[in-house]
Amino acid sequence: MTEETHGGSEGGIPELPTFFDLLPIDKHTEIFGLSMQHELVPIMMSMLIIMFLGVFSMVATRNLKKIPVGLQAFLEIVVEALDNFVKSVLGKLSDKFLPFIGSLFLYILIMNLIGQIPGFHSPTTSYNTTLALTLLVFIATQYYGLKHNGPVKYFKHMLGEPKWMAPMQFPLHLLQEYLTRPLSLSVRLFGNLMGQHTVLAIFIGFSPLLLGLIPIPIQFPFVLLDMLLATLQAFIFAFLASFYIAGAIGEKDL
Amino acid sequence: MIYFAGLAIGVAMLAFASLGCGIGQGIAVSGAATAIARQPELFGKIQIIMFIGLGFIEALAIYSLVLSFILMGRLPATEAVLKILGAH
Repeated sequence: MTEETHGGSEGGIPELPTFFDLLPIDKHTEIFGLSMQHELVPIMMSMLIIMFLGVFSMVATRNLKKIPVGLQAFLEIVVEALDNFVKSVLGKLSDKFLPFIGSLFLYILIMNLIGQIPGFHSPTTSYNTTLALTLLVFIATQYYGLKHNGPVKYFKHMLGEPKWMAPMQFPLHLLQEYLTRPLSLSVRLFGNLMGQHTVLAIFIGFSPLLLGLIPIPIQFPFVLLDMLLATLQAFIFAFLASFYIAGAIGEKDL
Repeated sequence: MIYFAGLAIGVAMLAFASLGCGIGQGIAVSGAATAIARQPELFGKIQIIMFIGLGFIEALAIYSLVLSFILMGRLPATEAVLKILGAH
């Protein structure tokens, strides 16, 4: 791997350059103990996406009309699709969780897709971002599970259904609730995105030059695959988040 | 040296994760195709279930990819290995 394909990463994993690399700042500078290369770029990109989503929603819903046109019509399609999706999992509680699950889906979707624009960087290729998102889902799951069922019923649910099997099921449930689910949720999103972007970076580094000048985009098939998988991963994350919350509340109350 | 050789073989063996992943995805897609052929009116629902399942199966291969990237960082550079081999 040559220095050009690296974009300055130390771990040996090739990364595409971002527009932060054009700024006259040393890549190894530390601000508040966060290194420029690995922590600050994802944070800046996340902030950019949050601002974009917020401003976009505000502009689109500034003067609401009875018969929607333009951006409002587009957003209504999106929100309606998300509403149907959340309703299919959470039933009559869907109105309460639509803002959480919907914004989670849109945020992750934009974060996954923004890496395809040259100069930008997907924050989800950093494990910190996906771990933070997973912690949100984890806290929401535990909070609503405790709130809807009360501590006693929550504990009973942990013990499993045939009560004489409780000594075996209780540790397994604990492991599943507190370790396996958050870990698999975060590593799934992080691994998919990091794998895709690393493959892209490697193929861009290998791309041959036509007449020594014009690069041939041999990474193009992977771009299409990436866009499909990025959407799919955002959908799976949102689906699993709603599924875990539904499981914590209990099927009878939905 | 034996340690690094074992590590390199381990990294290479991680590629076998895609073997099982491919078999699993093939079974999933074949099941979905059969179901759609029987009941074409359920196309949308079956497609969503298939894609979610494919995403789950795909994650298993991705775990091994992440692991291989982590382990690859532990491997020495080619020049260093060649230097040691040349010295012997």
